[in-house]
Amino acid sequence: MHVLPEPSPVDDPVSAEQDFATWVRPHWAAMSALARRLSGVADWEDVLQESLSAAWRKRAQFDPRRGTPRNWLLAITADQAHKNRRRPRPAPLDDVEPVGSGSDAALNLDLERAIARLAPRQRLAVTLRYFLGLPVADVATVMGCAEGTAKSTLADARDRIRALLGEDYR
Amino acid sequence: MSLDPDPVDQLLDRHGKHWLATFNPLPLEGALAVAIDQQPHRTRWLWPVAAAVALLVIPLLTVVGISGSLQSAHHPAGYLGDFAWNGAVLNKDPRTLTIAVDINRIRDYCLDDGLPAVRAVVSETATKVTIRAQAFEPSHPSPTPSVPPGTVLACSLRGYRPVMVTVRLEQPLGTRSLLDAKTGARHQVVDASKVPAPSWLPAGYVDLGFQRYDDDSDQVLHRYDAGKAELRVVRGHGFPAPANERGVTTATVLGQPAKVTAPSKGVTNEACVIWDDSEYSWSICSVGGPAVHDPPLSAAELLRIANSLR
Repeated sequence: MHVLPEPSPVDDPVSAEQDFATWVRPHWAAMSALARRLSGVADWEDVLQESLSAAWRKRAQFDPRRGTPRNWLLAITADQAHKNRRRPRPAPLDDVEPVGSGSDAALNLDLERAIARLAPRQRLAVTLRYFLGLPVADVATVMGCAEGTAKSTLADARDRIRALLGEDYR
Repeated sequence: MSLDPDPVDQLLDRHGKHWLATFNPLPLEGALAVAIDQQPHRTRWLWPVAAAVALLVIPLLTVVGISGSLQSAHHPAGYLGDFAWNGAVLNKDPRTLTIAVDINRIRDYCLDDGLPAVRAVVSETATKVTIRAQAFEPSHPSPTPSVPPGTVLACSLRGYRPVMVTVRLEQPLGTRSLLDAKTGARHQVVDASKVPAPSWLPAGYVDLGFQRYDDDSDQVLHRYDAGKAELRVVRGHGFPAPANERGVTTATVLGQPAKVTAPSKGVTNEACVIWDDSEYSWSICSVGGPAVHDPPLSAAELLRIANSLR
């Protein structure tokens, strides 16, 4: 595991920036995807920028004994996305980007609408598990909860999606 | 037995992978330059702004100091604010109500904040019951020296999970209105005594009670916990048929055709039986524990539970 060096006043600033870039780069795509999934089309780039800025400011607080860099960076991204959301609201439908064609596109659109109606914690769990492909243990770490709670939240989300899809797919 | 995933799990998995494959992340370099450049900028304007704020705020604090001390008498130490709540369920005891308090609705949730405590205070009249959900800093688990009647303390789990708070009323709710003190909203209540529940369960299952997802529907979740596995009985409307018929078996539940999905070996480790009756759709799912040796219940056990609904 690449451990971010502790910054200190005598650190060479250029070297510190290069270390940070090297450290973040493998996880940048996941941070971007998480920011996009949790924020509106007009907000996600700001959320991503704020996440990176927060990671830079807090980099000395990262403790490799408590988790991986990816989970730490994703937790910060999730936190920034949540702070960006003044109040819980579903994503506007024009945020939903249909994937596929024909009946697949219709089903995907319905699925996206169902995901948009999930509670924030459920949406976060679904995004981490299904869109970023994280194992449940890592979903739990990013959400700051026990593994059983993450599983339960995912089950809640699937129940909710099942019910929402069912209105049109009986 | 086939090891196919739950259809919704499968649908999400396929959709998520496809979405990620078509997603284009922003370039890191530009964002990195901005992130690293922000600190000096902030430092430059921070001190003048802080000085200006101090000049304005210090006299103001002096003036309002007395009223501030009066306010603290109304709000105990560690008070964070009032929470909106929803999803009220009247338990089988008609004096006991469970509400879902979404801790995300009052303030930004910070991953470093710890676990806020939630207190529900009930006030009752002949025509209405008003519940006020209050949040407190986690370092103040007992915000008041004595807990008044009608108050239940509960702590949230970290993350975005709502806190389920159960309160006991002095009188059965009856036909009285149920109001949220924070929003003034009048909430509909689902009466759990009218929701069928299993009369048979395997040994070791503890009833965790009913909860609802929100006020929008009369969908009700009834949870049971067995330590390494969980049972979830959901009454709702229109659950979809399994998208993938492989690994799905048909059965009969209370005279209605049902489908049983086999447990998957993937993340869900979940087996379900799904059917419709004349009014509702039902799903009973057994969610196994994280370990390989914590499997969900068998199809036969799930069907026996489903057929025992009374």
